[in-house]
Amino acid sequence: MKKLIFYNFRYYLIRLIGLLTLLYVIYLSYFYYHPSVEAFGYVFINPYYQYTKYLEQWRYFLIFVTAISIISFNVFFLLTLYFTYARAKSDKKRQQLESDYSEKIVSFIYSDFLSGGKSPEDFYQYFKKSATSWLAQEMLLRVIIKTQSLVEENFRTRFTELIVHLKLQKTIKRLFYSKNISKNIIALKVISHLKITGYANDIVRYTKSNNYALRNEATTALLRLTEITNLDKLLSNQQHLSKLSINTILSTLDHNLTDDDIDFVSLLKSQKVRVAVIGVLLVKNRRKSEYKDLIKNNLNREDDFLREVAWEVYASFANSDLDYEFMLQRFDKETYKNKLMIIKSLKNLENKRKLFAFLDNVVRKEHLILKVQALKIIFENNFYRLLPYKVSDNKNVASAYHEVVDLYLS
Amino acid sequence: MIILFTITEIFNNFFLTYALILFAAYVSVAILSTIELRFYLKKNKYFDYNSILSYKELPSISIIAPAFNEEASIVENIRSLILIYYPKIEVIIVNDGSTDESMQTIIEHYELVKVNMAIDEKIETKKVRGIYKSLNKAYDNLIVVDKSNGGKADALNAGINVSRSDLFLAVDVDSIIEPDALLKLVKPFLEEEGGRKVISSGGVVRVANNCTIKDGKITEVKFPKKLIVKFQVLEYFRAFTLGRMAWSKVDGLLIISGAFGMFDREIVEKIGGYDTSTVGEDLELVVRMRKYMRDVEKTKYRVAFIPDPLCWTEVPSSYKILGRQRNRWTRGAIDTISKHRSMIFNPKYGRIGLLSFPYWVMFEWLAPIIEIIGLFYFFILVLMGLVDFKVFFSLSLFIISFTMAFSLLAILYESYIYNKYKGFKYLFQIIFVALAEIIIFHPINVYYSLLGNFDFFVRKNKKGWGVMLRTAFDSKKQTTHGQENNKK
Repeated sequence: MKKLIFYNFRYYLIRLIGLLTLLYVIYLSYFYYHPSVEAFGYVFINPYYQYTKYLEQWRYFLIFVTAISIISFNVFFLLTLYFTYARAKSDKKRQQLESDYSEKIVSFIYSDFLSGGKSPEDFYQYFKKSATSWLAQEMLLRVIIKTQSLVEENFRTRFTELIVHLKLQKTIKRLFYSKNISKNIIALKVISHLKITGYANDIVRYTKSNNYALRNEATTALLRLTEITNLDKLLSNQQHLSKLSINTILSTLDHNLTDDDIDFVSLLKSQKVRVAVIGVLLVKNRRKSEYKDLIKNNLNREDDFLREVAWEVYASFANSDLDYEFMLQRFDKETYKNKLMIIKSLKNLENKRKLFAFLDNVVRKEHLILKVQALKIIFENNFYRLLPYKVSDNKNVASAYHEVVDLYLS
Repeated sequence: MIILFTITEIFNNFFLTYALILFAAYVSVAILSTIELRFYLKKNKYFDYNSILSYKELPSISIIAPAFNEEASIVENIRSLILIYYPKIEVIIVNDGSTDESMQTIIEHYELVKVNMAIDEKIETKKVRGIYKSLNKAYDNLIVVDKSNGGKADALNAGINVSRSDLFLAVDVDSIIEPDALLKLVKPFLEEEGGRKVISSGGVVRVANNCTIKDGKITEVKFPKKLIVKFQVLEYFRAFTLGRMAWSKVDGLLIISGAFGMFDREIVEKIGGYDTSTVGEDLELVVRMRKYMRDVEKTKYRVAFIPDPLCWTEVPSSYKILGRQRNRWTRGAIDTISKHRSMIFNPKYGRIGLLSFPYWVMFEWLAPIIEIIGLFYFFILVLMGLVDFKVFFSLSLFIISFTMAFSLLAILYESYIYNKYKGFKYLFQIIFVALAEIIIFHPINVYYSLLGNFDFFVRKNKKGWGVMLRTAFDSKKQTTHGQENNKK
C-alpha cells in the first residue's frame, strides 16, 4: 500500500482535487440558497442571497445547473486547447527521444561489431546525461524493450548492465507500482524480458487483476521469467483464458519454453478446459503426436472450442485404422466444423472401399460444404469415381461437383 | 377555466418530466462514455495490434461489400479492400444489379472468370446470376457475386450465403478503411470480455468529405468547408464517442453502423440474415441478433463497440440528400421498433427491453414529435398570455449552455484521444458549429424526422431509399446510390 501511494502521488492528488471540487460544487449549491453558512467557527455570508432568496427552489436549481454547464463548457474548451497543444508538444518530445534512443541503443548493442564503434562506457555517459527526467527514462526503457523484441539475439545481459549503470531500477519500480496500467505493462515487459528478480509475487497479484491487458501481460511476464514450475497451476489461476490470451500465451511459450520445460500431460488432463486448449494447441504446434490418446480424451469435453481444437489435432494425427474407425463412428454426432476436419483427414485412409462408401454417404446426406469437401477427397483419390456425381438429381450434389471440378481442377 | 388549467397542468408536467428524463439520460451518457473510454484507453493503449497477425488461432473473415452503380470508383474501392492484410480473409463484392458498366469494369480489370461455386442459399435472395473469381493469383481472395437488384440488405445476404468464414465484415464499398481497422474489430471476438461470446463489433465512422485520399487511404484529415458537413462532423463525434460508447458500457447497444460492422456469420445465418423489408437493416439486424441470443441460445453474449475511428465515409453535402438520409433513418427506426415492439419494457430482455428500447422509442423516434407538439403548445400559451418569459429565457439559456457543454465534451474527447483535426481555426470553427447547430441543424433534423414519420405512417412508404448522390473520392465524378429500391 505504501508503495502504491508513494509511486502514485500525482494520481491520488488529481482524484482528491476532483473529489474536493465535486464536494465544493455541492456545497455551493447549498450555500448560495442560504443567507450564510457557519463552518469551523467562521461565518460565510452569501453575497448573492438578495437575488436567490426570491427564487423558488426549482428555479434556483435551474440557474445553478446553467452556471455549471457554462463553467463546464469553458473547462472543456481550455482542456481541449491544452490537450491539442501541450500534448502535441509532449508527443513531439517523446518521438524525438524515441528516435534518438532507438539509434543509440542499436549502436550500443552492436558496438562490438561496428568498426570505429564507441565503447559501452561512452554510451553509459550519453544515456546518463540524456535520460535524466522520468519521461526520458521511461522512453529509454520502452526503446530497450522494443529493440529486444525485434532482434533475434538476446541482449539481456547488455541491457541489464545499462540499467544498473543508469540506476533505472527505481524507474522500473515506479512504473511497476504505478496506478497507470499502461506503465505497469511496460514495467512487466522490462522485468520479464530482462529477467529482473524480486517482482514475482507482485506479478502473480497482477495476474488476478480485473483488467484484461494487465492480467494478460502479467501471465506472459511470468512465463517469460520461466520461474514456472507448474504451468498448469499458473494457467488454472487465470480468471478466464480468452482466445486472445491463449494466442498470446502460445506465442510466448513458443519463444521461451522448450519441450522439456512443458508438462504436456498435466495440461492435457487439466480440469480447466481452456488450459487443456493450450495443451492441445502446444501439442499441435510442436507436432507431439505421442499425446494423441490424451487429446482423444478431450473430444468429449464440455467446451466447444476445446472439442474443436482437439478434433483438429486428433484428425491431423490420425494414422491408424483404429483412428479412422473411431472418427467414422463419431462422425454423425459431431458439429459441422468437426465433420469438416474429419473429412479432410480421411484422404490418407488406406481402405479405399471404406473411404468411398463413407464419402458417398456424406455427399448424399450432409451439408453442401461437406459435400464439396468429400468430393474433393474423392477427386484426389480417384477422379473417375467423381464423374457419376455430375449427373446427380440432387441439385446440391451437382453444384458441389461443379465447384470441385471448376476450382480444383482448372 | 378549470378545464384549461387542468390541461395546461397535464401538458406542463408531461413536458417537464420528459425534459428531466432526457437531461438525466444525457448526463448519464456523458458519465458512462467517460468511464468506458477511460477503460478502453487504459486497456488498449499499448496493445500491439499487429501481433494479432502472428496468432495461430484466428477466426476467418469475409469482407462483404455490396456495390450498385459504382463504375467510377469500383476498381480503386476493391483494391483498397484487397489490400487489407489478415491471415484468413476473403473479399466478396456483391454487384447488386448495377445498371452501369460496374460489372464489366471489374471483370476486365481483375481478370475475372465465371466459376461454379456451390452456394448454400440458406438466406433467400434475388437471383444470383453468377460468381466470379480471378485468374490472377494476386487476387486469389477476391470473389465477385453478380446478382439481380434487390437492395443493400439483399446484397449482403447474398454475400453471407457465399461466405464460408467465421465472421463477416459488412462495409460500404466506397468507405475508406483505416489500415488496422480489421484487427481492432476482430480483437473483441478474441477477447471474450467477461467470458461472453461477442456476436458483433463496430467502430467509429468519421466524415471523409474534404479529406485527402490517396490509394484508398486517408492521407490528410481536413475539417470540411461546407457548413452542412461540419454539422455532421460534430454530430458523428457526439453519436459515436459519447452515445454509442455509453450504450456499450451498459451493453445496451442496438446499432452497429451499416457502413462498417463485423458479425458472427453463423448467428446471422441462423436468424435469416438481413431483413430486406426495412430500410433500417443495420439496426434491425442487431436487435434481432440480441433477441435470438436471449430467446434461443440463452448464453452470455455482448455487442462490442470500439471508440477508434475505423472507417471514413462521405456524408450528404446537400440538404436535399441529407433530408432523404434522415427520412430513411427515421423510417428504419420506426419499422424496427414496431417489428420488435414486444421487447419494449419486457423484463425478459433485460436492459435491452427495459432501457435501450424504451430510450429509442422515447428519444429517437418520439423526440421530434414531442418537440413539435411542445412548440405548438408554447405558441398557444404565448397567444393566451400564459408564458412567464423569465422562466422561458432561463430554460433557453440552460438548454443552450448544456447542449454546448455536451458538444464540447465530445470535441474534447476527439482532441484528447484521436487528435485528427488540428489547429486553432478548427477549434473555433467547431465551437461556432456547435452553437449554430442548435439554431439551424437541429430544427432541420426535426423537420426531416417528421417527414420520415409522415412517409411511414401516412404515405406508407416503408422501403424507399431515395437517390443518394456521392462524389467518387478519387475522381470528380458523381455516383448514385440507393436507386435500387426505387426501381422495385
